[in-house]
Amino acid sequence: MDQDNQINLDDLSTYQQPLKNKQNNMALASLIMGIIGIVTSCCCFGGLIFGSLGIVFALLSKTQDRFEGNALAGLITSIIGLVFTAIVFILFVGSGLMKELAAGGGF
Amino acid sequence: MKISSKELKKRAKQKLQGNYGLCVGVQLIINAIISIVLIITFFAGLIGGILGSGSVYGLSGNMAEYIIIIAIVVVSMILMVVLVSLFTPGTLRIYLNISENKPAHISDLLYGFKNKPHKFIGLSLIIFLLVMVWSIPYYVVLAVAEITDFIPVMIVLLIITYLLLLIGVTITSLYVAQATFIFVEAPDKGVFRCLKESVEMMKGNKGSLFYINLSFFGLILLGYCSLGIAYLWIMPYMYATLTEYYNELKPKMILEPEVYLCDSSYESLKNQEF
Repeated sequence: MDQDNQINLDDLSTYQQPLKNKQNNMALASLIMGIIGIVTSCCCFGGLIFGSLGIVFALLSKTQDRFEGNALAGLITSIIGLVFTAIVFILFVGSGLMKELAAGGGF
Repeated sequence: MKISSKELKKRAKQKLQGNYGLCVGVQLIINAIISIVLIITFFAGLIGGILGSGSVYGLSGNMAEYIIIIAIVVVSMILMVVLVSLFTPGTLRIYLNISENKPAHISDLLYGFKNKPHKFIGLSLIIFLLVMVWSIPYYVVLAVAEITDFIPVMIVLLIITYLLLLIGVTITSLYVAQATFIFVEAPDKGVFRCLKESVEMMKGNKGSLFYINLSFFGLILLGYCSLGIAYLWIMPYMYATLTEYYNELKPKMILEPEVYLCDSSYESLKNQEF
């Protein structure tokens, strides 16, 4: 009976923390590209290039059924970067067109 | 095909983890070599064009120089085709090693140069000719349409032959898709045997390969958006997925011959020393 209640200290000493998954570099790269994409979205090609790279890295980092935290953040920031780039592009074209119309000949 | 394309892609991504350095390096080397050849071809063509048009003073009508430059362009184009057909086996060898968890090295890129290069060039040439056969009706109709000044009937025929070309090229490419993989794994096999085995393997599986190729469309579009930079990572992913597909498709060795020959009777097992 005593033996049953006794805690085996050897078992406790050999207990190990579950191994953490190795950090996915692609997911981290995706996050970095996404952030750079948002920052450079005012420059048309910057946002487009880094945003696209961020999405590609995020998709390639998905080795399990779900996206990793960094990869998901990278995917979202990259999409935001691309959307910002599209808005900047539309505003740029729109303002140019408006100027032309104001001058009296857009077409 | 029992396994889904999603599972194949997942496997490819898992196998590529930790190997991206090698794969991107390989892609970079191949692209650099092809770019150099293309640049040479471009400048040779440019100089040929200038000399041929006679825009350089004193060189007009100098046909010998013009022909030499054109010859340089043709030679560099052939060189590019040869380089591509010799680098492809090396690339596939690397991805096959990665897929089978074997050590892959950058030196594997020269696999095509070391193992019967003439056969690899021959295989590429035969595949190219097989694909080009489908373009013959289109070019014939195009020539006739040119002569008849594009009458409506010829335009309809042009569209039909163009569709025939597209469908024919796609189906032929799907049928011979595994030939290079088979040849890389067994360079002693004949070129036509590899093509035949590829056709046998692809019977009933063309749809799945077509779907896998089609599913890369989004990534290819993203590659264009990144001005080609993303292709350094997209191409290894595509190669790895196609390698996984080949590994899934290839006939497995069911049992080694020794297993059949082994006596599995009770007496023999009893007498066996452990």
